[in-house]
Amino acid sequence: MKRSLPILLAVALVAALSQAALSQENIKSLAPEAFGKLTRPPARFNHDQHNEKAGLTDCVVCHHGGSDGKIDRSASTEGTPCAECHKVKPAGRSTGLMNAYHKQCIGCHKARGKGPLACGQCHKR
Amino acid sequence: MGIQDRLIEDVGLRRGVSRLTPEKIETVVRSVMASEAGARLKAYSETCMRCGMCAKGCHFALSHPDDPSYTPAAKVAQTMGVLLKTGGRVDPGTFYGIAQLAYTECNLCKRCVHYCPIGIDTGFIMSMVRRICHKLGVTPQYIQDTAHSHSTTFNQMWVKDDEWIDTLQWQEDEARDEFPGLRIPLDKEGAEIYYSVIAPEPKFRTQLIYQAAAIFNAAGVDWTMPSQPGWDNSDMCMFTGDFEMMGRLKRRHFESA
Amino acid sequence: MNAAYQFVTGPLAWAAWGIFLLGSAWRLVAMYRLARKKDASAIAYMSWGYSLRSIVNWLIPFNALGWRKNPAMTIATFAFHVCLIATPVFLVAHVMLWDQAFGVRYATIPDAAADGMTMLVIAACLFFAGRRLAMPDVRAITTPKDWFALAIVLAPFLTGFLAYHQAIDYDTMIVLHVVTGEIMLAAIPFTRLSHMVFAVFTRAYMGSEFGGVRHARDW
Ligand code: HEM
Ligand code: HEM
Ligand code: SF4
Ligand code: SF4
Repeated sequence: MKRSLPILLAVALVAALSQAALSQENIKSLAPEAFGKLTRPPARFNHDQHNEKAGLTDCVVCHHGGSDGKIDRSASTEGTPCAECHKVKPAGRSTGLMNAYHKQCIGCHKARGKGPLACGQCHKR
Repeated sequence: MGIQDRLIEDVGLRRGVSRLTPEKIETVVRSVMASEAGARLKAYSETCMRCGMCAKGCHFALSHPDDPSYTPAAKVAQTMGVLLKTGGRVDPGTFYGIAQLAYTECNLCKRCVHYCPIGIDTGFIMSMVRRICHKLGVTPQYIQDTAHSHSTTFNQMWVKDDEWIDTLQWQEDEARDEFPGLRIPLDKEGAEIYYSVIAPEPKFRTQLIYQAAAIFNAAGVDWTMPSQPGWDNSDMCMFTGDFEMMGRLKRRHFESA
Repeated sequence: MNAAYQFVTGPLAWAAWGIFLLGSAWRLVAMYRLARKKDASAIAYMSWGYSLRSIVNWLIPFNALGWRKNPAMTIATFAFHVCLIATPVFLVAHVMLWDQAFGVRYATIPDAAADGMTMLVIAACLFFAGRRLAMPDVRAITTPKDWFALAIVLAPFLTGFLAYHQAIDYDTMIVLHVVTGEIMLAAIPFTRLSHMVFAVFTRAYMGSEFGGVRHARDW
């Protein structure tokens, strides 16, 4: 059961599937319902494959907690949809949903020098 | 097509050019660039987008619909453009064409300004070219003659001082036959209207002065005309590029006013 | 790929914006200094009223004589310049980048509209190129500098369009797009594109001269 990063959206998907279970097998893309009509094609993301490649075992790396724009990596939040904290239209200093994805994914990819950075590398047509 | 394909013989241009060398031309071009040419010339030459919209504004271009070398931007390219690109090092034969174009294919009317979205003043650029021509002594014979007349008599038609006053009095006499009370007041201090003419009026079209006097008379306004040199409000030196003489003329004219 | 993309969107982007902004400011200051020294009479004529009057009248399509006599050019150039500026400024992808980098967020236009506007810019560039080839008047005054300016502007739109549609090879195209966009920005102060900086002032001066000295319109 390696979950981490991209669970974000997965969670939303899961919710969509009438909250079947929190095991996110087969997450292939991230497209939380909260966005409503999408501007771009959903970001391609295969949860398990990604984490295997990236060597991620600790869920909290992605499924972090925090508030007021500050990430708290001591509290793991796997199972909670990203959209629950990150609103599409953020209030105050909190991070919006889109930036939550963009910054977390791209930030890590930049830091590691691996993984997609430009729009079309995730939002494949 | 271009200016070199339509050179015409002019003794003034020919004589001027015969005294030139590429070095002389270069020296004068550089000195004008260093002294008189400024931000306007620089901005114009850099920002002209070569869109050709000015072609629709210039009567020279409109009257040569099949020859694009009359387009304002093309005329700039063939004159100032060449001088800027070469730093002024051009042979005298080329310079003959530059002078002919600047004096005879653009009359500095600035109509093209109304058609250029950027606001490039081709007339101004051409007057800078004429300025360089003048400094090199390359000007067409006829216009130079009128400019000489300006420097000698302060009018462009070699009208002598007494001839001018005679002419005014003669017109006054004639007009009084028709309008008995008419006067052409000379040098009247404090008059409301200062009326001046161009020299071809006393020289060739004297009745114009008569007609103007008749209008002033009928309107009953307080007007006057100058009796002294400086009465000619034209300025051929501005057109030849002789800015020194232009300054003297303007001064004299305003002093006379 | 990552290193290349990070380089072009990082240091190179800073350089391009720096050259564009500082270069333009420097060119304006230098030109103003030169004008102060050599064109004092022109500066004396400058008037806010006549300048704005001229600029406003030239900003209305088919208002100025030049526009009326060149209708095709008028349509093309207004469509071109409006889309040229509005598309990149309000493009979702660009605003996203501002947001991620600096937290700057503002209005965007839908991607479909931006895509159409991009095609308009590309079409206008082709139109400009066409008249440079086909119209004798324009052909006679066209220089390599003009082709250069046109190519520099076309490139980011063409590559941006291809990248958006993920045509050919996306990874290459996106880097190419960013690089050509940066070339365009950096070229503005030093090429024909400098008309963006200077045109307002040449127009303003002509408006002032015609208004204040000749008491005439210049449109
Ligand atoms: C700092 C430089 C720039 C960066 C980092 C950048 C980045 C981007 C990105 C990421 C995209 C989205 C591609 C996609 O959808 O996959 C894009 C598209 C686009 N960009 Fe840029 N860009 C830059 C400069 C410019 C400039 C200077 C222009 C034009 C003046 C421009 C015009 C466009 C256009 C027209 C599109 C495509 C729009 C469409 O067809 O939907 N970009 N750019
Ligand atoms: C913001 C102020 C700007 C103004 C007032 C302006 C004005 C003009 C004008 C008056 C022309 C002349 C021909 C025509 O009407 O098409 C022109 C042409 C052109 N402009 Fe601009 N422009 C501006 C910005 C820009 C920018 C930012 C670019 C690109 C970076 C640009 C690219 C071009 C190009 C490529 C042409 C040449 C079209 C051709 O080949 O005929 N302009 N512009
Ligand atoms: S209209 Fe103006 S910018 Fe266009 S070619 Fe003529 S002078 Fe140059
Ligand atoms: S100023 Fe010269 S180029 Fe312009 S319209 Fe008049 S004659 Fe033609």
